[in-house]
Amino acid sequence: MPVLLVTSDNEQFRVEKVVAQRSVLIKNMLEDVGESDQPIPLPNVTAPVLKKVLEYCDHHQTDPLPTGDEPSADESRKRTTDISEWDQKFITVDQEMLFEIILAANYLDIKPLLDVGCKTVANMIKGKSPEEIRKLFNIVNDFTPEEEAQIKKENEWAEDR
Amino acid sequence: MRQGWTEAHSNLDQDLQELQSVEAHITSLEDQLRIARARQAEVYQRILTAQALQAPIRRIPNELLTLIFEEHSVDQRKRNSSLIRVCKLWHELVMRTPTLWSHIVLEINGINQLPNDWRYAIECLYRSRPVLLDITVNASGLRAPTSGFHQMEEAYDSLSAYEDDESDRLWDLREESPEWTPHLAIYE
Repeated sequence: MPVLLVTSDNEQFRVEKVVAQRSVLIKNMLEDVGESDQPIPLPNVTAPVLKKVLEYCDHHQTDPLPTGDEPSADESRKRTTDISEWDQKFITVDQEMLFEIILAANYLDIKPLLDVGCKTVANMIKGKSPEEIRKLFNIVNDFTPEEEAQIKKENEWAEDR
Repeated sequence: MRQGWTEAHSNLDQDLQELQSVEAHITSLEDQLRIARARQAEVYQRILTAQALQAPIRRIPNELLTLIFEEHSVDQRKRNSSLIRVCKLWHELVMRTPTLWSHIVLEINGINQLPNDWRYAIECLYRSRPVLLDITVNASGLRAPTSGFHQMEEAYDSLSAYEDDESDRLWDLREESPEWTPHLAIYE
């Protein structure tokens, strides 16, 4: 049975339940409501972002669902930074869309998509100097020269690396 | 008086006057340029600030930023020393997130680097509380036993002094060292 999703900009998406349920938020909502053809409002997601997220859910609809009881702190130690080829292609979007996808994945509770998004941003940061990172994300250097000197002094351990 | 003296004198006066006026003009132009440059810098800064305020990354809440930092885990030492110098918010986030400090890798290649290495190790043990630790010490680059190892052991002792509770936070320890290397007391 298809499910009707309504975005913040009032667009409707009719998707298969198995696809929509990749979102733990939607899955829980459906379980709470029971069999019903009521539309599900998603006030934190716009249509272009939901379209993209549903593309991910559709591709991954047969993946095993996260059980929710993995020991996260320990598991995270063994996480790899690998992203599958399809996911990599999927997440090759502009910065604005990338961060929108991360926010939506967090809100909709789609852990694997959140992982892909976070890993992608992490890969963008990797090996870059503070100045390069600021440039990449348009971040203002809000340290005073005194604060910069203080941080340098506090972090002598980072010298000569 | 030789002929031409008066003429030369009045020409010189004229030139001196003209030089003065040209110099005054230059000064005034330079002032204008300075003012224009200052304005340029001001407007440029305003544009940068406005762009930064609209930057997509500003919409990411702190807990998600932390998740992103955790994903970037190739070399914790390099990562952290870079991230904390980006801006105040990132500095604060990195400093107060224990999981970003729990993966301690020490490549001890020479005695000269030891003080820094230990400062770093102590910083990590302190900031990573209370999460589990992953520690790798590679001292195989050291060619001969030196008094540095006493310092190392003392440093380890002082590290354990940071641990308030009795519980063992050690998750994984890998140690590579020459045969003569005294085993570090805390891990025996």
